Amino acid sequence: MAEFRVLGKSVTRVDTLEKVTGKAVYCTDIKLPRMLYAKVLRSPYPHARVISIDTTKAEQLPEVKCVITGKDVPQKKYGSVVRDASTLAQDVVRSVGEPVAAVAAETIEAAEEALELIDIKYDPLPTVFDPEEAASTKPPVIIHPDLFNYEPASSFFKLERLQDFDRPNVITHFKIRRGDIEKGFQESDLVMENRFTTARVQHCALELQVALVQPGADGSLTIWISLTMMHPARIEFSRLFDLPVAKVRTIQPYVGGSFGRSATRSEIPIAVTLALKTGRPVKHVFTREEVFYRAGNRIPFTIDIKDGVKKDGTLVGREMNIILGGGGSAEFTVGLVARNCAFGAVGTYRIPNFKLDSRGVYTNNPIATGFRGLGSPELLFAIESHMDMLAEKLGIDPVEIRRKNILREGEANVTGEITHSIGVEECLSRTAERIKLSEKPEADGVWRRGKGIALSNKYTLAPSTASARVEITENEDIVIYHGAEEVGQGAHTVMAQIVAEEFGVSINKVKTASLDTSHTPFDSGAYSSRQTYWSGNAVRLACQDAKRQLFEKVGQSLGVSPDDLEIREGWFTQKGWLTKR
Amino acid sequence: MKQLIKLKVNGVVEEVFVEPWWSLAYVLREVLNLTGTKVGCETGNCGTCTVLVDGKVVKSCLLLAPKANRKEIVTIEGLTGKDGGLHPLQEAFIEHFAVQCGYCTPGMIMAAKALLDENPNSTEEEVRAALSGNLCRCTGYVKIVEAVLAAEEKIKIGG
Repeated sequence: MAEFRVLGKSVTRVDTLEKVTGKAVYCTDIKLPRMLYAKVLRSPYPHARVISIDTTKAEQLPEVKCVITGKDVPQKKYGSVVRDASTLAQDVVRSVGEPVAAVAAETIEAAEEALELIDIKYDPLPTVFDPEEAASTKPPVIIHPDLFNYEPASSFFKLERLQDFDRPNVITHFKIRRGDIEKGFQESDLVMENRFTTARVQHCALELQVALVQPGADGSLTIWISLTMMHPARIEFSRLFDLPVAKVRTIQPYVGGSFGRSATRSEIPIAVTLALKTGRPVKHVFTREEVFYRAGNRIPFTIDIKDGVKKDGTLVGREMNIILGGGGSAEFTVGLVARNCAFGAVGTYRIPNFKLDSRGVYTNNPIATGFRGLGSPELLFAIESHMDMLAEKLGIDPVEIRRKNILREGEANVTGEITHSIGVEECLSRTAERIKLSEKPEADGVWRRGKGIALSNKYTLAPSTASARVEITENEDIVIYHGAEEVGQGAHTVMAQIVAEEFGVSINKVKTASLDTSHTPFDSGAYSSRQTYWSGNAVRLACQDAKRQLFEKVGQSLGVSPDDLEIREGWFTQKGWLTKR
Repeated sequence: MKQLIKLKVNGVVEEVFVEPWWSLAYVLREVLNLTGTKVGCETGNCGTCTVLVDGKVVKSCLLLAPKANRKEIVTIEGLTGKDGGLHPLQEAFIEHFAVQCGYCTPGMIMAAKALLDENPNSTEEEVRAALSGNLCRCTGYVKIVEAVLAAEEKIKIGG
């Protein structure tokens, strides 16, 4: 294995000096000249028809510059999986907190006062909150009666939604089939079935959701966002507002935590509409309460798991039925997580007969989205709990039942994917040894401790896109332009390490360009643990390309073959020798 | 009606007309443009707006601006070490990887400063108790506590 100078070492993070001095700028810190403040009036009903909206009184406040309702916003819908969300409610609201009207004013206080003067009349509609009930073939309410006419926002959604016509609130139905599950259960010595549920949880990233929009003189838009996926977001906004992509610029300052929350679009189109109408910059900062309603929460899961095993613990069949409780709109992930959660269910064990059905469903709850792991942790919680329950019932050691069933090198998992570089058996044995699993922990005063062991696996989303550009300045600093988003995970430090390694320079010589679609190239964004691999390889290849161009030029002037050159601490060397700069 | 208050912020005297319902956090961020102090909940739960008021640790979103009249405020921007360099807490937060997204960092550092000013021999338990009003969603707190204890050592040896 290659020896690395910078990679794999604990280097000082490139972003910490700004962060410990209070100089790091987050979206919420930015003010622009003539900036207006936006506030949003939200539905108090989980499901209702909007009968009338009267904004006259609000418009009369001298500091109020603009009041908008459903008729003022793009009539197109938006969304990342299916386009089911309106910028402001059109006729029907489908969850508490759904935006119905919005105001831009000179001060936050005036905007808040204006909200109180807007009069909205609603006609409440029947509701459904229980995801299982919502997912049934005869739900009490159909939340999006036009679902099948909505535009898909991604190719896989189109295929999957067509599979569940008889369940009208189901957004996505993802299936895995292998072998014959009924035969598997017949051949088993023990069949056990249980239900596991997980809760709705807020990410509670400390930074509040922010949108800051500046309209340009030529109809262009500059959008500062406190969210990830700034490039895909830019494309979606350009579509929504009928602008060429080049006329929409997104800028991402430091982001105050993500954990998956920031894949939602968080009502940015409202601020865009207000900015376009007033011709002035508009800033919209969520309150913490609005974050709970509208920034998306961890999706609550209902997981039914049925396992068939031999007496010795060998898995013969596993059946999983999963329901993901979405909100009034699908957002990024009820559709995506319904698929991606299944990755967690297939990556660990050898199971000859396997059947999985995962359904993302609309309810009248607040919107739900990705949260650390895109559903894999939830399924692994159910699976690993069940492995322990099977072991207990069969009187087998919990480590042994796992060891017996884990995938080996070169083996196909239930989806047919070949398993490579699998270290799970070694991990299992060494962990069990280190935590002394067989020894009972001692009581500590009033505290009782328990020990347990569980396996986990996590995939990263593919395919995916990343790009990078390298610039070498006159004083030999290296500026790296990439789209890897820094949300606290250390992406910018990792990218700088890769550059420092490639050029043989100290990490202090590497400068990271601020993330701005006007100069940083396309990247799918910070989600699915993808950036070190995808963006990191883009950065690495950009460095190698830049070095090759330099070696060709230097080689020519020195009369040396470019293949014989290398670079170290800003010096070109003939491999093994120091030579001219 | 707005009223005039006088504050000393990071050593500078400021006179500000404030509405009676404005918070100190609002005055610092929106009037004085000291955005190093963050706001995360405006209900005193997250602690990211923590500053020092007359040396005491205060969540500035909960203190009405008129109550800060004639007080001495220190924010993250006013924190310095010897010779105007980094404060030992700032150095230790960098060295111990106690910063990830950074949004809680200013409040965390100010809460730690109040503790170390008051008790330069704080134990790990006392550090944890002093920071219990400050939320961090990234680090899991371990490295933050390590950083504060390391800063305490730095201060003892005159850093």
